[in-house]
Amino acid sequence: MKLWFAQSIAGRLRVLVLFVSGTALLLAYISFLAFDFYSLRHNLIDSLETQATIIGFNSESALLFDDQQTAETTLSALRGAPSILAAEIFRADGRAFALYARQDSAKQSIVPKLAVGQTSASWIQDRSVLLGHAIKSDGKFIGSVYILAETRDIANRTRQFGLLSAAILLLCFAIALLATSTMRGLIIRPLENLAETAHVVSRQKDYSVRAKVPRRRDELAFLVQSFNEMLDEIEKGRAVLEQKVAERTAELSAANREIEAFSYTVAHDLRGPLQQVANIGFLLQSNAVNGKTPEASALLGKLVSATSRMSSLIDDLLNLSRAGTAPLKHVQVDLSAIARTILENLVLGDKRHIETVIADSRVAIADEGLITVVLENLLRNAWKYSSRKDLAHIEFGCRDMGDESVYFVKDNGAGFDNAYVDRLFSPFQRLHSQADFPGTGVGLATVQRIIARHGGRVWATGSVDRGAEFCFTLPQSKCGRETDSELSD
Amino acid sequence: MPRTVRSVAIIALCAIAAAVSAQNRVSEYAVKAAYLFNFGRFVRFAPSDAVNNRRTFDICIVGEDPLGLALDDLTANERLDGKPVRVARMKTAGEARTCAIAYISSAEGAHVRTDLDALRGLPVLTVSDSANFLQHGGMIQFVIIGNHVRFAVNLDAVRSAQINLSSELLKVAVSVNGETPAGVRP
Repeated sequence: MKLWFAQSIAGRLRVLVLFVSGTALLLAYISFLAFDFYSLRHNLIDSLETQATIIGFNSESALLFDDQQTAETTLSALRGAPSILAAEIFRADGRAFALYARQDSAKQSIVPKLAVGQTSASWIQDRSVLLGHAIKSDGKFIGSVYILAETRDIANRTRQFGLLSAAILLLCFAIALLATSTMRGLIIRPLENLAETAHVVSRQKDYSVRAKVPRRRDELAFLVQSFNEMLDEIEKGRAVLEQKVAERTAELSAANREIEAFSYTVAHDLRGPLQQVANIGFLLQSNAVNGKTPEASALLGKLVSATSRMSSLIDDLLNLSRAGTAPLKHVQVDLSAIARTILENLVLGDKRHIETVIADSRVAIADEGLITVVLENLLRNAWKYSSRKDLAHIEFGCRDMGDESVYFVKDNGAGFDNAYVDRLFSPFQRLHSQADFPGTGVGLATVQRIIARHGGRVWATGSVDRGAEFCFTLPQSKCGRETDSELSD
Repeated sequence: MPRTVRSVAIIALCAIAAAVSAQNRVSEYAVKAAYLFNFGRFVRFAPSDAVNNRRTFDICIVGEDPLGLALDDLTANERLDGKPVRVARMKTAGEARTCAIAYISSAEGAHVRTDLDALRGLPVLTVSDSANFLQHGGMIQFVIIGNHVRFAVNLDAVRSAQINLSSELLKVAVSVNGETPAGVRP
């Protein structure tokens, strides 16, 4: 069974053909042998019967006139039949009358076995057949003749037949081998070729290969043809698809470049005039204050603050634009130092009761300028959204999660509703009103763009009034030891 | 039933015949009686008025009868040539003209010649155990060879009487040319 399943189709076919032909031949051999055996024996008995009848007729007078010599002469005619070992004529009372024995054969003793009234009977012995025949004269039993014949002929025939069958079986095996090798050419080789082609296609994704189509117009040729046509279709489809992708990519990048250029130009070119508007507004405000027109002064104050907000928006937009386009320069950066500097600057600008925890010497491999923008955005957010707390708490750190290191900025501020977490990193999407917490809505989008360009991930968790935690990963960067933490007011 | 009895009788007689060792004259004549009857199986008479007129198949014993009742027992209710077999005894051969087989006993001695003359030309198979029977024109003569009862045939005499003897019978004859082998006891 194991052998059967381990074999190729060709091997299995060969086994099958050999099995079928072998079985057929064996059955034929057995049946022919049985038939031959039966008919040979039957024929032998028939011929013995005939001979016995003739001898019986010819020995009638010899028996009637007690002439043993004549009876023996009659019997000696059996010399012509080499298979007859011995023959004997018995008188009516069962006593021996005349005997014939083949010269070379050992003395065979024959015992009369015919029952009273029986005309003829035969007994099959080990390697011989004994036939008895009653001799009658005018319907009266006057004696019997017995002929003992050997069945060597039958044995010979059996052996010869066996040899012949073995020879035919060998011939059949040869033909079976020939047939399977023909089958190989007809079926197996095209199949193997097809299988090999399919293998190349599935492993190397090479759709340009083709299976060889057999010259005959059979099902296999049709199969291979169909397979090749399928490959044609796939190849054509892929080519079209690749071309389309290339076209779309080119279109997209062109569009992107245009947008980048446009937004940069807008942001950059807006700055100059805006600065002038701000400056003029500031001058007008000072003059207006001197001219004591409080109404105008308040209007000008609004103008100045609006221009300053617009200016910061433009700054953020420029940052966002740079985050997407500026070339990356990977170096080892001390994130802890950067975070500390940013927080110190924030504390200088706004004296608040705040607790900061900054893990020591957290380094990363990143572009220093861009990672500074990231940290500034995150820490500034933490600072802003924790401003309403009596005791604000801001923490920067790093922890190992699995095989990657996660940097985080955590605060205990206003937090956000987790349901809207997917909006956080989209540009101009804000979860808090301008009145509560002023902002441009560009910061986190910038953060995400920078981290993505580094090949890292960024995400946030939080809940309303319970603070928020912003996490990011950077490839090839590890936390290292988490040691001292620093407390500062 | 009588047929079975007869068969048994024949079997017994054959056994006796085979057992013959000639010391016993009775056995010898029993065998001869059987032979006389058996000759009837192998003899064919050419059709003639004389033959056609026969109603019975007569086996006749001319002169002294050495066979006793053996022949009578053997032939009781038997048929030969399609006719019932009858055993008849008579003083002279002249009375045996209508017989199918005439057995002339050796006791006839010199009368054998006249007996044969009386039957010459007639469809009667002549049998005897007297010496020189064949030379005198007899047809079948019993001889004893090696304690076995055998017989010799004078085929010329048989043919001239328009009698046909089966080759089966002639096959087992000692001779068929009217001579008796030398050194045989009559």
